[in-house]
Amino acid sequence: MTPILEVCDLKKIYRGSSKPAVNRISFSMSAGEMINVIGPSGAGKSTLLRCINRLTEPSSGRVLIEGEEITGVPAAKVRALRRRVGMVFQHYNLVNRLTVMQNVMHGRLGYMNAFNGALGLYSEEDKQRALEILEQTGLSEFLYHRAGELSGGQKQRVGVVRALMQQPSILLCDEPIASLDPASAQVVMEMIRDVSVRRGIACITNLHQVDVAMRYADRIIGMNGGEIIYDGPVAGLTERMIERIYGKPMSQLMIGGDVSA
Amino acid sequence: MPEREPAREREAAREFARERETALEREPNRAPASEREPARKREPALAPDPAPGRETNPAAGREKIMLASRESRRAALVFAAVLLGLFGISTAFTQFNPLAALSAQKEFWRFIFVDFVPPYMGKWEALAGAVMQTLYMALSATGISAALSLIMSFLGTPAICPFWAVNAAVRGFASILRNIPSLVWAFILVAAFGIGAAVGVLALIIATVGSLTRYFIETLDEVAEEHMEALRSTGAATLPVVTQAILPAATPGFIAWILYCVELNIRASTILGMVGAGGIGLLMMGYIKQYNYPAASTAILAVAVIIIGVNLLTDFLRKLIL
Repeated sequence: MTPILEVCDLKKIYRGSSKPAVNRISFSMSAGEMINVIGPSGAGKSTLLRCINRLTEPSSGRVLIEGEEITGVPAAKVRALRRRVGMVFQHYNLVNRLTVMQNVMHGRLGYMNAFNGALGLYSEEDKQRALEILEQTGLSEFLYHRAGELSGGQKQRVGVVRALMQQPSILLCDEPIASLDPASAQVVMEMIRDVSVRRGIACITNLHQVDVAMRYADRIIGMNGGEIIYDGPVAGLTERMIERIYGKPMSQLMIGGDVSA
Repeated sequence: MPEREPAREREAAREFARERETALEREPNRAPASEREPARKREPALAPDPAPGRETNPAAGREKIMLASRESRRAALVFAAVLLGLFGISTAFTQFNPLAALSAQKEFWRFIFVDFVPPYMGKWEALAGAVMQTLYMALSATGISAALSLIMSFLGTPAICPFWAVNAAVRGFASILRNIPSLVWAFILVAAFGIGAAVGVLALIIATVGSLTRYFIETLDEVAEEHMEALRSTGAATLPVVTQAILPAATPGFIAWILYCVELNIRASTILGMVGAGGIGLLMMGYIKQYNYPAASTAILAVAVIIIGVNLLTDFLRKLIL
């Protein structure tokens, strides 16, 4: 079985920096798996995610999406592969002046020729599918609201729906709940888990909240200093390991306590 | 930096990865993670720090506590002194004498209240025609400039045009146009093409394209930073990203800048008229040269009215659109 995502010895050094932001990163993912990536700020979590769809250019190493290499290929090929990789951003990155429907349809742009895309001539079939997904995610009442009028949680759900419109096999979520209140955060995390379980999409999510990461993951990747320190099941993430990932004793880490209560 | 992970643990993680792989193949419709693996209980790790910091301020009681470092206060003082000095020197060199301005008061007020009053309203048709010409000049110049600037700004922003040489060339060209005032352009063009409103429009366009291109590029850069990435991550090509996200998001900014340029150009076109580029300015200058101050005063009032009127209108449009 080909892994959905394969990362081999990935390394990224930003210009003007001597230390790599990520280094010696290798892992693979299969369909429907949910990985949460944890680690202190500057550990390279965002860089790792952004290297996967080449929004950030890796310095060396390989990334394979469904067995096809995205690294070292021409721009047109990168775009074609990006369609299979949805991305969700901390600040939602919706066009606030456009309606929810228009924002969601942006997920289809990668599949259209430049002319139709430029004029926003989306197919009825795609629009129908957008309506269905919005219905399933309880967003249909906001269909023609401007994205700027929505609450943070609603915006992020629209962000996820936009990514789903790409019919991706991988979903990259870069701090999806970092700007949300706890209630909205839970709704969004449950939505992402749902995406992985029901639609069989491999989801890889950067998180700052260790408790949330443990609650919603199949597997945890812990990073520090640009390298993977831990890659394994939630159950294997001992307190000692958390201390190593964050480089600090537990007494200096604010971790949400008992999340199952 | 934590020490490297012991080989034992790494081996365990790999073992897990293999197990999971086979498990996934066996049961694809598995329950969510939290239902399968109850979240672990953890003791609240809130033991108080054994040695809470009880630092004492050695300087307390002896010296005044400063709100900023000595260096930054000194820098601020030097900066203020230099600034004041520059203002003083500049004023001295212009030979501006407040006393002279006060002593000439009588002459000044007499000029305004005797020579200019009452405004002469007899030739209102000529006046209305000139006012309309000024408005046409400003609107036509702004419209044409907006269209040209839109194209130039696309070439000037790295978000849309990936060739940095083109970006730099467009930005440089726009800066040159902008940094020469429209009044100077009008002088040059009137000397070359003669008096008329068309020359005024051309002078306004040259100056406006310069500024508007810069403003449009700034707006595009700002918007692109926020929106480009999300749409690029969907695999969309550049053109759809521009038309579907960047342009809609940049539209309010564009409109605000265009309205600003309308205001600017109304004012500029009155002044351009005075050097021969048609409109109310030309009429006003003519009256002043003929010492026909009552008629000039009507023209000045007309200028005030159209500038205030246009400002009110653009304010209203801004509120309506943005």
